[in-house]
Amino acid sequence: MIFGVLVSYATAASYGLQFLFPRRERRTPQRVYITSRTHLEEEGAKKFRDLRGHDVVLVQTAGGLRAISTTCTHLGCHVYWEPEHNRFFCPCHNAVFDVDGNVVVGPPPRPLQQYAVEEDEGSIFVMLDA
Amino acid sequence: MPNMRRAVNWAKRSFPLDLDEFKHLTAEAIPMHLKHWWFALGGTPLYLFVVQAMTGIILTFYYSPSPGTAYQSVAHITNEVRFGWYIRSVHHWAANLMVLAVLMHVVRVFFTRAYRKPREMNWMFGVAILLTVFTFGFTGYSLVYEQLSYWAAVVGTNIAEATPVVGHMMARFIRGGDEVGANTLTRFFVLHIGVLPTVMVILLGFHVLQIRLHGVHFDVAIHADADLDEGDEEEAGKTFPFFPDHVMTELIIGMTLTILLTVLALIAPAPLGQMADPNVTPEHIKPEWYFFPMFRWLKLTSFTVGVLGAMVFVTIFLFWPVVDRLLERAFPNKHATVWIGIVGVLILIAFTIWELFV
Amino acid sequence: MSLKAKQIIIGGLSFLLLAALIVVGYVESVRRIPGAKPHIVISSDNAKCIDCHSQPSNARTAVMQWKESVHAQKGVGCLECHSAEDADVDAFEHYTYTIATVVSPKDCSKCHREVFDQFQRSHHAQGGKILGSLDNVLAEVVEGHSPIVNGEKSESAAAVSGCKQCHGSEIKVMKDEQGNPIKRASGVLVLDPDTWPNTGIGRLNPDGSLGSCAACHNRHFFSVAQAREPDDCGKCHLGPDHPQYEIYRESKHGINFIAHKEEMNLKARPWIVGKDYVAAPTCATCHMSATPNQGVTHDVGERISWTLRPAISEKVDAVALKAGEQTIPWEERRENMKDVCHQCHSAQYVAAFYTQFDDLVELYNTKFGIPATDIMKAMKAKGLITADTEFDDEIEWTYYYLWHHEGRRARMGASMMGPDYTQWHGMFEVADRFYVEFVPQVKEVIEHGKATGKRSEAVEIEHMLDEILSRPEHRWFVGKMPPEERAARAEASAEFKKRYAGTEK
Repeated sequence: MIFGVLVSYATAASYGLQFLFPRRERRTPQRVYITSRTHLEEEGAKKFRDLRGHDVVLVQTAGGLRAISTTCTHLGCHVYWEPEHNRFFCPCHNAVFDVDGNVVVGPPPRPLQQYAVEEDEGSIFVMLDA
Repeated sequence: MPNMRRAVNWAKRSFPLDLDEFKHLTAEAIPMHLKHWWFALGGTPLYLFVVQAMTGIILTFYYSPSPGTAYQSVAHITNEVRFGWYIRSVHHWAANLMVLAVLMHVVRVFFTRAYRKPREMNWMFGVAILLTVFTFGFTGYSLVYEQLSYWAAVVGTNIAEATPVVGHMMARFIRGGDEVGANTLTRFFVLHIGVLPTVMVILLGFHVLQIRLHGVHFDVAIHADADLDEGDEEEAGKTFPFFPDHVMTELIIGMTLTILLTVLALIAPAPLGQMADPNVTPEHIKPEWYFFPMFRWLKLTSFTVGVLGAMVFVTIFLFWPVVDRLLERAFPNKHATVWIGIVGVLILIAFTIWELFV
Repeated sequence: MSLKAKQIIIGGLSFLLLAALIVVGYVESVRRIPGAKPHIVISSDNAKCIDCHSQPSNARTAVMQWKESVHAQKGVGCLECHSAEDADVDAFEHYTYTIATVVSPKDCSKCHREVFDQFQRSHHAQGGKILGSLDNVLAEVVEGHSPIVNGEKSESAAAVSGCKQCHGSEIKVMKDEQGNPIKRASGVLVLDPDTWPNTGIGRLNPDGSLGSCAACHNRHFFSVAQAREPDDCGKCHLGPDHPQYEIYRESKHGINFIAHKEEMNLKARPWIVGKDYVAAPTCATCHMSATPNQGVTHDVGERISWTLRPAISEKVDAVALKAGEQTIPWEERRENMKDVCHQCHSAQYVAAFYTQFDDLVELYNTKFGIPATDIMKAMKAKGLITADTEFDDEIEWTYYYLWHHEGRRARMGASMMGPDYTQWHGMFEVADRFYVEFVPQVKEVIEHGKATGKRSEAVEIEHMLDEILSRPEHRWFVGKMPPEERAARAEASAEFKKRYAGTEK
């Protein structure tokens, strides 16, 4: 009898617990139009885009176009592009990333995340992950 | 295991309770009349209050008390959050059942005349609890920010404003301004999850304390020819143990309520109407059912008379132990209070039904 | 109640409670919408557009429609379509962004490249080049008035609100006397109201691209399910001169569509006939949509074998071949179309249908289209009717009706199995027009020619007419049906009546 009572109330309590854990948001992979080739004139030019949860900087490098996330891989602060030093700088713990997103100085454990870039007839797209 | 024993001893040292005393408490003798289910109507709203507190707290994890986001957050709970519809529906139905249970408890206490000496103050605590429950319902319903929520708040605060002398001040305080708006929602929210629960716990504390001190009232006159179950002792004075008998009774009540709430949540989940639109008053606004008598009464007379009448009613109700004594002295053995009670209940039911169908 | 009883009750209640909770759990599991609408992710730039344009009376409904669209879910927002280059003719600055009102197929091609290519080479995209055609003479000269003002031809209202709404206008920016673009107080560029609003399928856009995707995929939903509806094509493909929509609705295909619309699975992606739906074909099914063997095409000519548009029908590749251009041969296009038919019909069924269709087109061509056209050409060449001004002679209207209205109705009715359009709105009216109006009017022109000093030319036409009317298919009209034929017809009729004698009620 006690067992029955406990099991049924435990079930109800488990529903309450599940209630508190939000569902995973499923995001379909998105191909987002950023800009067109004509707006990226010289090498080193960048296009800054806030995609509400994905901060992306588009950098024109010698190796081609890169789309780099501006979320610091240490503890999630927003990194700033410093054109005069050609680097990314994180103010939280003074981390520095180079133009390719690699860690130069500071506590971040890995490079900045990169996104795939597609170019289609002069239009530049960034592939945001699911 | 030696470590287990050490842990238990540490617990015992931290709380040096006398366990024999504890055993004595659980074996406490409960008067026989409490076996009658009629007397469970106090514990019922208490159980439902606990249900409300628990579901309410977890609902607050998702609710957002701002006019721009309130409705959305409720819709999010109802449609997207896991078991959101269930928790919200239980909260919705427990509210209704709690009001119903409290009203039935009041009727029971009234007709068994349990408000008489020495329980007059307890009656007043009880009335205060009743009013608190109504306020819970009023504030809670407005938080959904549907059309009916919004306009109920407008109408309700306007009625409060009609109270003589203090009306305007009261209304400005409740609304947080001259109009129902963002401030109002925030205040209702604070009342509903902070102020009222605290007040309720304090009132309940006093209410239960006084019951423990006085014991549950047993009116011999009523039970003279009551038919109790065969095999039970019929005279007052006999008792039965708290544990396990009374505990089991409470458990039965609790489980029945939980089943009832779950079934209601399944067959009649909490609805979500149109979002509040301050520019459009819906054609048929009604408050919650427990406000129907008041609503209907206000439609019958002028506004001021209506509000004053209601205030007089509540005052008489609050001081009923005094009124009852006066009536008893004026009309001895005529059971005046019983008759007035019957008429009163019938009028309230009639007004409720009238409002329901018009 | 005894303790034991209570224990049993509690046991029972816990069982009931558990059962109720299991039902709750089940309800929750089926409620979970697996592909729940993902949250719309847009850039902060777009968020600015949306914040302002969500205010009442500020194109709010466009935003609301967009929110329901697939574009919104994929992060395609305002600027992805409306942003413009500074060099664009119709670009203007709007709260620090350079945008244009008109979104052309070129803008859409940023993401829909293949569709753009198919569409640009299609006949739909040519719709706006109606300039200089006979129909345009009607709208600008006959019905309307488009005088040349300040060296610029003004627009006929008949064309602006009529023809060009389907065919497409040439979008122009409104300019002042100095030739500068005019802007409103808000900075928004003013487009010439003779050219905008317009969602014609062959619209000539400022950026040089042709057409408008919104002609079929209405903004701002851009719904593919909506574009699959026959009603969508019916905006333009209806009326006395090309009633494809009415023909479809008359046909069994259309009847099935209406009756089984719920089973059409219009929102499916992909949407393959024979697989995702079998109830009925729509316009899109046959002319554009995917089959198990073909992908979707926005080149609506890829499955057409006849062109039913001109006075005399020819195969759809004939013009290109004459010009020496490379194009998909009509036989291949017919095979493409047959591939669609074969999803539901047997090869024999389809082949027999095409025989019926071809026969009707040939009938129209040989009996009415070619003779009437020959006579008209000859009369113009010989100066019996004015050759430089259209529609000033009554016979020109008669001839126009003959091929442009009922002639098309007959052919199109046959192409899409609408027998009433083939017959009563079609060949019957063709015959009526030809014998009761055209032939007598030719005779009038001949008489007029004889009376106004063009005797020899008129006689040549007279000979031409006589020759035509002596042909086996026409000679009944001039009382020259041979007696054998007459007798054979009478005999067949009597035999028919005898066979069914007594069955008539």
